[in-house]
Amino acid sequence: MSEALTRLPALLAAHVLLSAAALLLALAISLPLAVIAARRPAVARIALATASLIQTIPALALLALFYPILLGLSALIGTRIPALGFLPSLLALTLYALLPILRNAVTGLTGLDPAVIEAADGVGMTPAQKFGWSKLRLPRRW
Amino acid sequence: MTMADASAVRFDAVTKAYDGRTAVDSLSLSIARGSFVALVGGSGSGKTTLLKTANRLVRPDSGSVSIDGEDVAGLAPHLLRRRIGYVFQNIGLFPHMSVAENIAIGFRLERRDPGERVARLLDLVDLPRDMAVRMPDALSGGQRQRVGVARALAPEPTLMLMDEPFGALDPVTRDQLGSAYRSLHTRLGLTTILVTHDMAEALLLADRVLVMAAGRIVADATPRDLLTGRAGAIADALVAVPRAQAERLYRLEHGG
Repeated sequence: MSEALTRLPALLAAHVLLSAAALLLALAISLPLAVIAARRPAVARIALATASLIQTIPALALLALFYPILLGLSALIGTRIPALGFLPSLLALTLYALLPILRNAVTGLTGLDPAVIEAADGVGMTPAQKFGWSKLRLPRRW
Repeated sequence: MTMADASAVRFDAVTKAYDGRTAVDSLSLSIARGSFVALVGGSGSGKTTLLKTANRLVRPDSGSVSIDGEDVAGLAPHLLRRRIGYVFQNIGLFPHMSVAENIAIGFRLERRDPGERVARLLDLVDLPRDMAVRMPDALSGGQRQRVGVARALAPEPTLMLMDEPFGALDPVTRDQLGSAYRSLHTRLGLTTILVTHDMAEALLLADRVLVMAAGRIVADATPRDLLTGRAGAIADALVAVPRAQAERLYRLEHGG
């Protein structure tokens, strides 16, 4: 029991590291994609459909799916890519995080009152200011 | 050049079409500095499109617009818009900002300190100063549009563009705000272009009424000329409605 407990901090650290890395990676992919998707409905449809599709794959199946893919990739480029452990877990978690981030970001961006956007233009905001002042309003509201 | 100097806004052969449907049809117009001009017409007559070419919310397909002799296409749109007051029906107050922050947005965008401006602007639009800390959703429709007007006036524009600004308000508030704005217009020496579908409002507020239909100006007259039937048949038809209503009310009151 105590022996198991001594391993806890290291395992916890590995867990947090993995989750945080996956979250950051998912944010880095989803947020720029959401900004594009908010302006182009076609991109939004494809991106959300793809993310939804990924969400339907069971976790174990996703990990199992990465095993041959990563092995195949290793063979293809000649260097050894680990097919078990951190990397496939990171990829799977990242893929799972895409949909909630993407869907919420697209909803947040497209759900803005058109009057607020017109006002933002009317008072002379640059596109960057518009994004900063009116689109990223949710965190300030909370 | 002297011609350009005499007018605050000049539209030169402005044309704009949406999907092949003409909204504004080669329209030329000159608006004198200090005047209060109402653009009246039914929906789809092109009045809002024309108004928005002045602050480049709409870019004309051809033709040009100049303000104080300067072509608006020669300026970055955001810089142009910061010099022009813009008020519209749906107000568009930023919901996450207080009244004060909304009014001071023009200053914040340029990283300038609004100083005492917010309190003075609240005075100007007849709102109590302690309203500055409120959020927009805690205000009535009329109060919100007063904030909208204050926000537009904050950077001290000389030109105000108003698109059905009082259209969503109840008749009493609408009348109050209309008169209040009219006196501000005079007091601050503004040039105002007001888009409205309400001929009575146009007649009561403006010095010059332009009637638009199918992207063209079909009547251009003072309210008095419009009322005395000197502005043509289309204008007469539009004036007939508020006049008939006024006469009916008068008869009701006097038992005629």
